[in-house]
Amino acid sequence: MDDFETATVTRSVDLDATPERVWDALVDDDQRSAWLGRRSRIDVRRGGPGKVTDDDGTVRHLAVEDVQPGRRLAWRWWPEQTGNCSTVEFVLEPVGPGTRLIVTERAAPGTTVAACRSAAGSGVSSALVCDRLTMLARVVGAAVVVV
Amino acid sequence: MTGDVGTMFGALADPTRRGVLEAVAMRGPLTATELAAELPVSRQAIVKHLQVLGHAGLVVGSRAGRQHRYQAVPAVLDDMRAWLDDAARRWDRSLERLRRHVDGEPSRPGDHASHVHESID
Repeated sequence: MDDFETATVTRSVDLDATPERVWDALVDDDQRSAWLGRRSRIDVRRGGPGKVTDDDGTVRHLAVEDVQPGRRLAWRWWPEQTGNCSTVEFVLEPVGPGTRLIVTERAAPGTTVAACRSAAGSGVSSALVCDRLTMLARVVGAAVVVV
Repeated sequence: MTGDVGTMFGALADPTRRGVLEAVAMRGPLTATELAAELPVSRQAIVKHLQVLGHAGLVVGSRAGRQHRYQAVPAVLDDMRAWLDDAARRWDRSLERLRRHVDGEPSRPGDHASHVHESID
């Protein structure tokens, strides 16, 4: 469905593969590069950065927004060249032995490349801070509560 | 105009604003007063809607004497349509390649997504 009013494009495809197998194809860089554009690298965790190069050479930067293994992956991305920020959501549903994969891309209203970048930047840095605190906790053997 | 399709779509998310754009596109150039006379909205609200539409590049105003008249910019709707078409093409192509990938078939560049069906909700 392409919907002018809600600015969304939705596609669904039924795959002869388990949700686990499809999930791997979404999150593994080498596997993803076989089907999403020419090449992609994504740090698949909330706030993680990524970069996808399309077949036509268009480079999109992205920030991961949601990771629910085997069920849902969402990111926000924006082409390097234009200010067209959008969100992408993958939902995996088991259908018999296979998987229905539903993809929704939505133009993000009221956002600019700068806004996308800063949203991504803050997500990345807070993820890094969390990682560092977790590492520190391991080193000192203490529990860390991130507020 | 901003060149940002998110802002353009955002401007059209409001049904009243779509009504304002439609009136301007069908019968423009129109003034805010003329629009308020034909739509069930105050002139003040019309002016705000015109500002949002103008920010998104969907309408432009021009001064004629003491009046501001607004008209639609159809090319911006074409930009929005082009964005949707491009996204649809990208996902058709990618999902067909994904299908081949998980089915273990070699992907062939330039394949079209004959097996990908559109949801119809």
